[in-house]
This record gives sequence, C-alpha cells and structure tokens, in this order.
Amino acid sequence: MINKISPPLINPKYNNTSAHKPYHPAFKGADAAKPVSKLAKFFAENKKAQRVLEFATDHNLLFGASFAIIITCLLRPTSIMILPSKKNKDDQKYAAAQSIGSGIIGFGLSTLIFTPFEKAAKNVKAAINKDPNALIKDGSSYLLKNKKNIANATTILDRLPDVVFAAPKGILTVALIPPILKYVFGMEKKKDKPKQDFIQPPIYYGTINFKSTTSKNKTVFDNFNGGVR
Amino acid sequence: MNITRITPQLNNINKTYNNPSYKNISFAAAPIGEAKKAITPFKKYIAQPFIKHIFNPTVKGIEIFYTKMIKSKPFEKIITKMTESQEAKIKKNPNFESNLFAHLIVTGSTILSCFYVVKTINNKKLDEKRRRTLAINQGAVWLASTIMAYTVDGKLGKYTKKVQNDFKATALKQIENISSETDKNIKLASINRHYNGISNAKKIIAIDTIYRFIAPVVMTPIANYIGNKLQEKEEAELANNKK
Repeated sequence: MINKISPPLINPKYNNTSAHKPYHPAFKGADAAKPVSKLAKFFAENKKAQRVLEFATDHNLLFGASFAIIITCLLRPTSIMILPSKKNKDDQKYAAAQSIGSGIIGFGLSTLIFTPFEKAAKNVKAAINKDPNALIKDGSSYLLKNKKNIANATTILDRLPDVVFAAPKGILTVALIPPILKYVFGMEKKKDKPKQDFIQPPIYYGTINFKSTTSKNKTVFDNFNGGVR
Repeated sequence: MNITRITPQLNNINKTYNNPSYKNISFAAAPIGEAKKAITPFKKYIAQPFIKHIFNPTVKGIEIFYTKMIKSKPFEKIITKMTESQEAKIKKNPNFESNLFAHLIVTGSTILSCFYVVKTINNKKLDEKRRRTLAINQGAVWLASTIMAYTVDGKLGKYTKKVQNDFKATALKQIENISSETDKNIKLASINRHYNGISNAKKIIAIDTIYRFIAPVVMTPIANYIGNKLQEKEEAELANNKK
C-alpha cells in the first residue's frame, strides 16, 4: 500500500524567505484570487450608479427623502392594497392615498427645508477641508488636532437638519395630508355614523294641523283639524 | 466705359488659406437650446430673483450659524468626547468603524416616533384606555424598529465593506494609466465620494426601510392585534369580577 503524501506548497519553515516562493507565474498574492463582487463592479463601471452614489454623499438628506418617496408612493400603497385586511376597499384606498400624500408632502418639505442647509454645509465643509485655520482663526483649533474631529463635525453638519426639523416636518405633514387628499386626490375620510342613543318616537298623525296659511285655501281648510274619526 | 476683368489668382488664394493666422479659427454655432434657456421668463422673473434674494441670503445665514456653532466650546467638547470614545473603541477593536451617521438617522426617526406617541396621548377623540394602549403599541414598535435597524445595519456592514473595498480596487485600477497628476487627483476625489456614498446609501436604505415600511406595514398591525387582545382580556376579567 502506497501512501501518497502531497508535499506542502509552501514550507512553513521558509515561508518568509523569497527563495522558497511557490513557482507559479500567474500568482500575484491573495488579493488577486479574491473574486470582485458584482455590485462593486457595477458601481465602478456604471456612470448613473456613480451619480446616485455622489448624490448619497453630497445630498444625503435629499437622498433619504427620495428613497422615502419610493417607499411611501410605491411599496407601502401596494402592500396596503395587496395584504389582507379587515378594512373595506374604500378604507384601504384612503390609507394608500394617505401614504402617497404623506410621501409627496414629505419630499416637498424636505426639498424646501434641506436644500439651503445642504448647500451651507457643503460650503462650510469645503472651508474646513481647505484650511480649518481660516475658518476658526485660531492656531490651536480642535479640528487640526485630529482628522476624526473633522469627520465627526462634518457628519453632524450633514444630518443636523434632519434631527432638528423631524418634529416640525411631522406636524406640517399631518396638517397638510387632509387638504392634499381632498383637493388633489378628491378623497375625504368618511366619518363614522354616530350611534343613535335614543329611539325616535313614532309620529302621531292625529295632531297634524292642516290649516292653511294662504288666503286662497283658507276657506277650505279653515275648520279641518284632521285626525282619525 | 472700360471694363476691367479681375481674374482670381489661384496661387494667391492658396497663400491666404495657408496663412498661419487663420489656422486657429473655429466656427461653432451656439446650441439652439442655450439661446432659449437664456430668455425663459420663469428663469428671469421667478428662479433668478428667488435665488438672488431668498435662497442665497438664507444659505449665507446658515453658513454663519454653522461657523459659529463649530467655533463654540460646547460643540468642541461634544466632538472631542466623540473622537476620544471612538479611539478608545479602536484600541479595543482595530476594525471598529464610527456609526455616527446611523445614530443620527435613528435619532431623527426617534424624534418623529415620539411626536406620534405624544399626538396619540393627546388625541381627545379616543378614550383614555385606548389612547394608552395605542401609545404603548407605538413605543413598542419604535423599540423593535430601532433594534431591527441596528441589527440589519450591522449585518450588512461586512458585506458593504467588501463592496467598498472591491469598488476602490477596481476604480483605482481604472485610473492607473492617467498620466496627468491633476486629473488623477480629481478622479481620486470622486472615487472617495463614491466610496463614502456606498456606505451612506446602505445606511439610509436599510434604516429608512425599517422605520418607514416594515414598522407601519408589518409591525404596527401585529402590535395593534396584540394590544386589542390584551384589552379585550382585561375587559372580560373586569366584567367577571363585577359579576
């Protein structure tokens, strides 16, 4: 019986010496063997995808608002209509329209509020990256001490408007949904019928007075009191 | 009347055409669209005045505010503390990466959720018990969404890092042959923007999908169902006790 023992490609004893490198002309190191992910290749080659990535970096608040519009105007209404629900069709339609309305209002408000903030943040970031001293006018600026300080400060500048305006945006969106639904979509929420707490008494026709108020018929109905005889 | 006939001399024409002063002249017509763009009434009477008198001064004002904020001592303290804590974490785990961007997205969503909870509590159309149940439901949905958002973001982190690294390697290979140093620097800057864009887009898409889609479509109905069942049970128990 022959035991076939394959020799190790690299002898661990001499692993670090250049003389014992494995002979293979195509071998260029571990990284070359790794497959490049398809998504990375797509990002590296597709110009439109690169524009989207630039948008996500430079205008991350508007990128969020654009993504939110996909969710609120497409995904959420579709799932509201498709998923089984106890609500009737009209209520489902109203809920879907409400989602679309909130998406449109949210996007409009975000664009209106965030655009000047993003532009200002971009200018300030450019100033910081160019020369923090010129901005701070102080040689011992904390931004100069550590690069991470700049990264943290710029991230806060980027996302601060979203945190500050979250509640006012919510209030405005809630307030604007009903008029938008009414005047743009022509939809109005049906009010629940109020429960009748009292029983309506039957009308007693015996007391109905047929006396006419007009002078023409006065003589005819003058002495007529109605009722069952 | 004497008619003088001038015959063109071919040699002279050729000399004129070959004159070096004419060689750099180019005849290019302006695109038709540009002439139209310049005279658009919307641009002239609405867009340009808006940008000049409202947008630009607003941006300037925000810039001044941001600059003052960066210069302020409390902001400096916050940033320095943040960096110190990040560095301490890096010492423990060299692969640690700042999650500040995700924290800020979650903070925005948390404020919005709190607003809806407060709105429910103050809703006078509902009776007190129902209000309390709904507010608890909303709080529970927020908590579940936040846990889910961080989990999904964390799980996608490793894959995103791989995509980012692969993208950088491929993009750097593409610009290897550019000889001009300035062009190379411009390309490098845009590669960095794309690199950061991958991470930003991932965080926004993952967290927003959970807060804006999974939470209202999947979690809220489940939470409401549980809330209703609990309330019914409570009411039934109360009715039994009364008997």
